[in-house]
Formats: sequence, structure tokens, C-alpha cells
Amino acid sequence: MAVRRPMRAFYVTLSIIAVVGAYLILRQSQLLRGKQSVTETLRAAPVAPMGAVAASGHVLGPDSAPVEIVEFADFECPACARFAILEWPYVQERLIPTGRLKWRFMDFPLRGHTSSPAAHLAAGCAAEQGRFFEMMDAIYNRQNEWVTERRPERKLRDYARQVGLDLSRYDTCVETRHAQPGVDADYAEGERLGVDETPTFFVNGREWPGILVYDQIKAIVDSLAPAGGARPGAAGARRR
Amino acid sequence: MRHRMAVAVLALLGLLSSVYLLLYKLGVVGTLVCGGSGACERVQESPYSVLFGVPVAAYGVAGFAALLAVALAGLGEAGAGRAWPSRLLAAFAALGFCFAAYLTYLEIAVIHDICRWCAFCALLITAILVISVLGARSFRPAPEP
Repeated sequence: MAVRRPMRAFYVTLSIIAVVGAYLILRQSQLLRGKQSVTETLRAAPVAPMGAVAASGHVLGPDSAPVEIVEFADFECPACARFAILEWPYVQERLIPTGRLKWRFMDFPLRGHTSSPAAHLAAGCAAEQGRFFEMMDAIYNRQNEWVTERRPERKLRDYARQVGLDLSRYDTCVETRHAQPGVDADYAEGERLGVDETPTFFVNGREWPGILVYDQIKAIVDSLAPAGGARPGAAGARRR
Repeated sequence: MRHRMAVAVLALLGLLSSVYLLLYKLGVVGTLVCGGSGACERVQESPYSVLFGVPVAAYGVAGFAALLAVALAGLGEAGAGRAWPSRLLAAFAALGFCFAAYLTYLEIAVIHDICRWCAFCALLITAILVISVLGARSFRPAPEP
């Protein structure tokens, strides 16, 4: 049966709304940006030189690594948690030990996220005991648990105990906000670089458009530092 | 028929908005476009953004998808000239309106933040309710050929 003209116009309008809406959502959701080819993106001109960023962040991987990926992240951000839970374990287990990749986590608690500052401070205090990445895993894996608390400090302290921190040192650090200057320095660096969403990644000083997944990170490392060219180095976590 | 067309368009807009909020909740969207206030994210991260273990946005996706499906069925051969799509739309819209009113109350009185996307969805379901009730009341069966 032929569709009448007014109905055809209606269905066309509906289809246009659906297509435009789906495109806008995909563009915002990083699904499209994340699909960009690694080689194509690496060829692009640098978006922002990293400059003085070497002075801050939580680092895992040897200083001699030819590839450095910097991640600006917020503990309250669901996309950051998704990356931390689904992609980060493979990066940590398979790429960092090769000595070809150095990872730098930069605190970037977004304005308006009310629970995030406490989590970044707690992770900073864990960093003072050399357990930043363990604490980061605990915070992200239980994001749904602490983020809904009116006062998340109690839950965060539980995680500190579970990752084996010296609780008296942790408590002192939290009470005196001893790790806060490091968090603030990371945030200021992000603002300087124009970071306005999380997670935002920089690959050797070049902003990566959208979110990264493990396969892309491996392709980046293989492209910039072919296996055999680097020696496994000291990969202990440290605060810069 | 025009009522059903209008409902279909509004339901599609609601469906797209709900999908956007659901993708944020699932961690696929990095940061919500929300005027830079962070209010949308505070609402989406509140304990009230999950109901029976399911993100509230998923209920929005299901509800608007159901409204869209019924509206389109009411425009097709199955429902054109029949009363049941109009009645079903009014019933679904009434349910959706009550749910949206409860969520809006939580935003204003409990969370103390207004998520613009949620407010947009609440306005859409209100408009859908008004249109679908008017459509059901003014419905006249198609004359026999």
C-alpha cells in the first residue's frame, strides 16, 4: 500500500530527528571519537604541548619509557571508572612491565562533583604510602558505593584499610589535607592544557581525541616503540 | 491522527534524551552537556538515579520507546481509525507523568539540584499526557468505506 503524502512527510521528519539525535549522542559519547585510527591520530599535529606537566601526577612505568600516556581523570566520573575497570588492568599487566610505556594519572576532580574531592585526597594520601594505584582500583571498583554517600570519607577509609595502608598515617594525612596541594597542582595543569572533560588522555604530549581502549593503547605503544627497543625498567608507583 | 504524530515526535525526543542519560550512567559518555553547573551529574550520581538496581534512565528509555511504538502502531494499518492506541497512549503517558513527577519532586526537595535533561523529559511526558488525553477524548472512529 502506498504511503499517503502527509504520512510520508511525517515519517521523513521522524527519521531525520532520529538520525540527527543519534549522531549527536554518538559524537558526545566518544563512541565515534574512540574509533579514530591510531596511525591517523598520531600523525595529527600536537594539540597542546605538555610542558611543565612532568612535575605532577602519579606515575607508573620507567622514566626511560619511550611512550608516555597522561590521563586526566575524576574518581566520580562513570567513564573514568569504566576505563579503570575494563582497560587499565590490561595496560598495567601487559604493557607497563615491558618498559615501553609510562603512565601518568593526573587528578582532575570536576567542579560540581561533590564526592570526588574526598576521593582524590584519599588516593593522594595512599600515594604517600606508595599505594596510589591500589587505592585507585578500590575507589573505581566501588564507585557506586561511596559516590552515593553523604559523607564518603568513612567508605574511603575502609578502602584504605583494605589496600593495606597504615591507617594512623592515612588519618593524619586526610585530617591535615597533606596531599591536597598535589591534587590542586594536577587540576591546575589540566586547566592550563584546556582539559574540560574526563577522561582526557595525552599521548607523548598530544591530546588524544576521545577515550582510549586497551587495543588502541597497545597499537600506540607498538607504533611508537616497537617491541625489543626498550628494556623493562623500574615500574614502581610514585608521585611527581 | 495528528495527536498520534505529535506524540510520536515528542516520544522520540524523550527516547533520545533518555538514551543519552543512560549512556552517561553506563560510563560511555564522559561528561554531560549541562550548562557547566554539574547539576545533571550530581542528580545522575545520587542514590535516586537507580531504582531496583536499574538506572532510572533505563525506565525512561523503556517508557518513551513504548509510547513511540504505540503512536507508530496507531498511525499504521493496525491502529489507524481505532480507539485502542489513543487509550493506550493516555494510560502510558499517565504512568510516565506520575513517575516523572516523583523524580522531579526528588530533584527539588531531596537532591536540591535540577538536571536539565531530566526536566526536559518531564516536560515532554507532560506534553505527551495532555496531547494523548485530548486525542483519546476527541477520537472519532473512521467511517466505514
